[in-house]
Amino acid sequence: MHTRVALLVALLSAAPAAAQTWTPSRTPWGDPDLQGNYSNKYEQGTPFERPAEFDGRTIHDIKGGELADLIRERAVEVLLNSPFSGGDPIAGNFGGAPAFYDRFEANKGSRPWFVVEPSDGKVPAMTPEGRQASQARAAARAAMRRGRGTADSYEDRSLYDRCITRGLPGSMMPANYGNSYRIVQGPGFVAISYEMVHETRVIPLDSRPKIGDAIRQYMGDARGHWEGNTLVVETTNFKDEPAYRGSNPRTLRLIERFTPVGSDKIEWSVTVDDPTSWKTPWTFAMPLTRNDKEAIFEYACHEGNRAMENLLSAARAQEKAERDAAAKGIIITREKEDTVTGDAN
Amino acid sequence: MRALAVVVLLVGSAVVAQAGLAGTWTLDPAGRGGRGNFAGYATATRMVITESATEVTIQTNTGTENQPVTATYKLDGSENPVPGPLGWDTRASAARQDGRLVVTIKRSIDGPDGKLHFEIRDAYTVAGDVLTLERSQGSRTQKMVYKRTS
Repeated sequence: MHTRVALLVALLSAAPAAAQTWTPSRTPWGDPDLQGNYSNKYEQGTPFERPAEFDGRTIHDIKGGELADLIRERAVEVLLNSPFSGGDPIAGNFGGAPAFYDRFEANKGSRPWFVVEPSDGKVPAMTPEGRQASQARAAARAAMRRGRGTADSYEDRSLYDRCITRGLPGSMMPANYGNSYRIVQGPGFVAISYEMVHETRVIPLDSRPKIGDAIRQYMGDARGHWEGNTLVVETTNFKDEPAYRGSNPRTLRLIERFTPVGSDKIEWSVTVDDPTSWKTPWTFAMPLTRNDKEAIFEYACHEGNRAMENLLSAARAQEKAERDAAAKGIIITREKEDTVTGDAN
Repeated sequence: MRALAVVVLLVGSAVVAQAGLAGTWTLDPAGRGGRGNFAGYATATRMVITESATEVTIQTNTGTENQPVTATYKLDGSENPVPGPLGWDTRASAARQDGRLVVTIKRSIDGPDGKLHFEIRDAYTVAGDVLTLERSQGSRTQKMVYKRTS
C-alpha cells in the first residue's frame, strides 16, 4: 500500500514543466482563471498507447521533425479513413467522406501517444483478480439482458448510442466531432460542459463530504481543489456502466489535473487509480486548446434522430436475411460487431 | 551455356506473361495485412478481374452490404475517374510494370485551408494462383494475399 501511495504522489506531482512558466489571470474572487472554450479535436489521430513501432522509446524521445512527420502521416490517415456519410456503390460512391470538419484538423496534433505513466506508454495489465472481476461484471450486465441480442431493444445499446453519457473520462476524449468543452467558474465551483451529449459536471471546490457510497452516478461524484494554478479534480462513485476500461466502479478513482501551460493551453491529465483492477495507478495526458471561436454547439442527439430506429430496424432486416438464407441452406456468419462507446478510451 | 541462359530467360518471361490477373480472387485470411480500412479503402474479400490489352476492370465487394464496386483502369497512361468516397475527386492511372499491374489513385478534397491531395498506389502481382496486392500511401504499406477461386 505504501508503494501505491508513493507512486500516486509521484504521478500527481509530475506537472508539465511549462506549467511553471505560465501564470493565468485571476478571477475576481482570486482563483486561477481557466474559463473559456477549449477543444482537443487536434488530437483525434493520436493513439492512446504507444504503438509497437516505437517499442523501447519513451514519449519524450519522439520530437522535432520525427514528431512532425508522424503527425502529418496520421492526419492523412484520419482523413482518408474518415467515417462515411453515406454512399451508393451502384452510382460509384462508397464510404469515406469526411463528414465532420474536425477531421481536417488532425494535422495540428501534438503527441505521439497519450499514456505518460508508466513510461512505456502502455496501460498496465489488469491483475488476474481485476480481470476476473471485470469479466464477472460484464457477465452480470449481459445477464440483465435476459438473452436478448445487442440490438433487440434500445436498452441493449450502449449509453453513448442512447445519448445518455460518454462517461468519464470518455466525455473529454477526442472524437470525430463534438470536441468543444466550456469551463465556467464561480466562487467555490468549477463547471465543465461537454458538447457531445451535452453533459455538465459541477465540481465543488470546498471540502464538503462525498456523497454516500450507495449513490452512484454516470459521471461520478467530483471534488476539486487548487494546487497552485492547477485545478485538481478527484472523482469517485461511478455507476456500473460505463465501466472505464473494465475497472471496478466501486473502487475507481480518477484524478484529473487541469494545468494552464500557456495563454491558450491547458494540460489535461488523468490518473486512473483502481487498486482492485491495476497494481499501480497510470496516467494519460493531452492538451486542451482554447478556441473561443468554437463555443460548444447544440447537440441534438434525440431530436429528429432516426439512428436508433434505423439501427434496430436494420438488425431486424439482417435477421430476416439470415433466416431467408438459412431456408436456402446458406449460413451467413457475422463479423464481430464494432461497437462505438464513449468509454472505449 | 550462354544459349541455355537465354532460353531460361525466355521461358521465365513467358511464365510472367501467362500469369494473368483475370479471374475470381478470394482473400486469404492469413494473408490479410491488418484489419479495418487502410488509406480509405475497405479490404475486398473477393475480387473479379477482367483484362484486355487496353484496360483492366476490377470488381470488389467493398460497397454497402458487400455490394460490388467496379473500377476500370485504362492502360494507356491516361488519368480517369474511378469510384471513390463521397466528397472526394478520385482518379486513377494504370500501367503494367515488370509483370505487375500498378494503379496510381489520386484523391483530392476541398478542406478548410484549400485543396488536399493524396496518392495511393496499388500493385497487383500474380504468381500461379496467388495474387498479392500491395497498397501504399505515404510511407505506409498494406499487403493482402488472394487465392484464385476461378
